[in-house]
Amino acid sequence: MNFLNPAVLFAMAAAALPLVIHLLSRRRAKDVAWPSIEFLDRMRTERMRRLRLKQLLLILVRTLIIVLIVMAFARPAVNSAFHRNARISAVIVVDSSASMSYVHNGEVVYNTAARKAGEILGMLGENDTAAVILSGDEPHVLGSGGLSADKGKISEILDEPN
Amino acid sequence: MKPVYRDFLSPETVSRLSRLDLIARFVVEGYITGLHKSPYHGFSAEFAEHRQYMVGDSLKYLDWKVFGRTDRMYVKRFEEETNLKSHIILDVSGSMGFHGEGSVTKLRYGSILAAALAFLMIRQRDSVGMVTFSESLKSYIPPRSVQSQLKEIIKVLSAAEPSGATVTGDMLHTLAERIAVRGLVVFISDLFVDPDELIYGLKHFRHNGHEVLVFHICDPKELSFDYGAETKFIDMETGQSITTQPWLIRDDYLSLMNERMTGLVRRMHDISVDYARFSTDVPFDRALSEYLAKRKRLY
Repeated sequence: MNFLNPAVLFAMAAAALPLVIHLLSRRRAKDVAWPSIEFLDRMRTERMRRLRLKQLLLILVRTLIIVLIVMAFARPAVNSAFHRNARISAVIVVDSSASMSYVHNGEVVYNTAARKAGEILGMLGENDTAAVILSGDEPHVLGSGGLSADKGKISEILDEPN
Repeated sequence: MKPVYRDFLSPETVSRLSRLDLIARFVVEGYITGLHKSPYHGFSAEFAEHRQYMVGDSLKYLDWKVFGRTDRMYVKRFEEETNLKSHIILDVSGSMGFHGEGSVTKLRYGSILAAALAFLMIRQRDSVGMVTFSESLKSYIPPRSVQSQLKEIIKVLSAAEPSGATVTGDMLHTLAERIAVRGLVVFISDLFVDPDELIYGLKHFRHNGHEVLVFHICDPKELSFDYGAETKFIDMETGQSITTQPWLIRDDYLSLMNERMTGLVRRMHDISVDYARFSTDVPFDRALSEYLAKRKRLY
């Protein structure tokens, strides 16, 4: 698991707060001379045991809440590597404006882009869909519009010289 | 009773006087002055009428003022002729030393109450005796009706320090046997005793023909149990301690105590023992009224 915002994780220290507060309040116990603890004693066994359990659960839950909130802020992200079989929908935007006619390293830049797009299309699997958008003067989607499973078709249209 | 008088009889105010005998006088006279009329018909420590002096009468009650004015000898006759023998039994165990913030200790309250009652009783020409106890009998002053008795009682009360466990056990039985004449027994305590022992002991008094009045002294903090912080309660008599967060057990604790007291009071009523509860912030006039109401029934 990755965190997109790991800097926030330092706040995880706050998760210790419920426990710390509990421990501190124990040490601060005030001494009180009491006339007869016989009756307090009578209540101690079952009631106080139940109360102790409740207290413990409370601390646990509060700590958990803080942990989850901090984690949420850190934006956990799960790698797609986990899901090799998920379907991909690819949208490729190719710049088809006039500036793409520039020749670089002996090739028209537009053709380079088209080729790259073609490569990506080639990487897609059987179930993946794709759409290619030419973003020139009038951006439009190649082919019939929308995502299409027919990558081959898209490739062809792409290869046609602009 | 007018509110302003009650302020003067509040335990806080009264307790600031240093001498217990002054406090006793202050409380009783303050009480009587504050009333619009006598607490009940017929009560008066004032004299009611003159009776012609006969040879052989004690000169103690001769009205000298009248003699000075008219040369006639009259003996004062007082309303209150019956002579009741009373015993005040005061609990001086460790638990009586408890006090919440701002209140007097239960022992202090009980002592003032005992002193005021003794004062009142002497004025009514009843005889009064004094007993203090904790885990055993601590002191015993046999009942007498002379003025000097008050001094003895005050001395004992002033010296009383709260210590020891609270055990009634044999003490009440021994006392009941010791007292020859039927009278009134006033029992002042916080009632942190074994209920069976207490009832059994009081029953003995009743059996012997005594009237019994129980003054139950509480501290407001004991009744409210509103502690805010985690607290380590240390027993004043045994030294044991328990640490807890009081608000968690408050409701259960209060209902437990309530149950206990209700049961105890019921058992007292069953044996015709009168019971009155006072927390240490209650002005003394109430306690005195309680005593006088009981006293009235004992003619």
